Amino acid sequence: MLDEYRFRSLRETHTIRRIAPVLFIILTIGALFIWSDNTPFTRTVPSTSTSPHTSSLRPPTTPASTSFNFTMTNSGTITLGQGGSSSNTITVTLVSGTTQTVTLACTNLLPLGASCLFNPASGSPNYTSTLTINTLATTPLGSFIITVTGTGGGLTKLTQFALTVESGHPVGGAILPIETLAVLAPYIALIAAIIATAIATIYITRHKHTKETILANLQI
Amino acid sequence: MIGSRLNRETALGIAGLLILALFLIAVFWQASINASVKANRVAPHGVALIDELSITDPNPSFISDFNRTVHQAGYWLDYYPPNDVSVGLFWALPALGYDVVVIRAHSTGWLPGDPISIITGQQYNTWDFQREQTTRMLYRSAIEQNKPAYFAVSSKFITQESSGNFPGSIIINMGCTGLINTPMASAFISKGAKAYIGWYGPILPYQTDTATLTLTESLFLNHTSLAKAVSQASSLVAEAPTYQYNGLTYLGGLGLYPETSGTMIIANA
Repeated sequence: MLDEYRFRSLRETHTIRRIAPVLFIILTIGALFIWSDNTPFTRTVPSTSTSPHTSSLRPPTTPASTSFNFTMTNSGTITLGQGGSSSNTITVTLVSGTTQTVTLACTNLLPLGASCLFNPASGSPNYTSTLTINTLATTPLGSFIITVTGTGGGLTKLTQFALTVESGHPVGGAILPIETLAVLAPYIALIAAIIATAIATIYITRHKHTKETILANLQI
Repeated sequence: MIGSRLNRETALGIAGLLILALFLIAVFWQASINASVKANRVAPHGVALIDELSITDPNPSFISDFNRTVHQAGYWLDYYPPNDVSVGLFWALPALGYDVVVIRAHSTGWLPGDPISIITGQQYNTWDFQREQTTRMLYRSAIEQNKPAYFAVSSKFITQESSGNFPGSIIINMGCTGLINTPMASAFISKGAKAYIGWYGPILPYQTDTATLTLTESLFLNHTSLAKAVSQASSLVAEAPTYQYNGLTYLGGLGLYPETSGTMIIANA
């Protein structure tokens, strides 16, 4: 009985020794898993997620700037004449996060003599701004790519459109003086010709008359 | 006896020559408009696009877009390229009977002291239209420096010289300052047009093309009233209420004359 008890005890001890390392490994992994479940920086949360539920799980210490995002669009190509002005509507749209102030600006690649004016120059998305481009009479003709940047929340976005500067001459002309003498020249010439003809006729007639008179006198 | 007879004959001869001269002058004077221009009335629902502006600012997309708009409304278009925009065309224009006439042409009147006129594509010379030139019905005009001059038709020419009458047409003058004052508008109205649309001040080619397309789309496709269509087209250019050009102040935008025509619409053909 005692031997049987000792044998069973020895067998159980042997079994315990065999499974102990396995248990140790399982427990260690389990402990690590539980510990990691409470550690914020090891959780993978998509930064662009907009799910309210996901956001509520995120720790409040996460900076807002990483979630704020926006896009910019414009109303398309604009054409203007030298010395003229034209407008483009810039639309700033919030994509994610808490809205922050976005400031608009044109890059320095404007054609010579052209200037940009935003109204308003900054705002919190969503908003639109009217961009007015003014040119001088000396602004070169041609097509240019205008780049508008929007800066806010640590982000810089841009939108581009084509600007065409055309000749600034209006659809108008000027009246030039008429040279009346030149216009009437054919009539003056006609009248002169008639007068000359008349004078010649008179001369010839008188000359003929004089000749006839002399001849008549000679016959007498 | 012989002498007195000769003097009488000479006097009669001179008198005859002078009468002949006066007759010839009168014939040349009156026959200065090109008699070969025909003024046969066109079919109903016709639209004329008189395009002198293409001399300096051709815009094929404007012409094709305009043509498409007109055809969509069931109208048909006669396009007059610069070479066909003659004094004779303006002489015949009222009698041709177009429902809508769009004059895409340079005009004068935006410079101080210049009267309003519409510039043609016919190059100026001194041996045509002497009577019209000396009576200021036609002007000598320039659209570019150091380039040929062209004949320009005055409001007096439209009123006194042009042939026949418009059949209640709508006239759209796309050039500068067509309504800076009313003589040109009044001239067309006196010849039977119902409405005249023009710019108060100077305008650039792309601006007038854009506004005119919008205007004609509103009129032909949306059947918008004249007053509303003019207002919409005018707002595209964003010149209001006044603006400066070359140091002079002008009223901005498109205008309509007479204002009582504002309720007119263009129905489908």
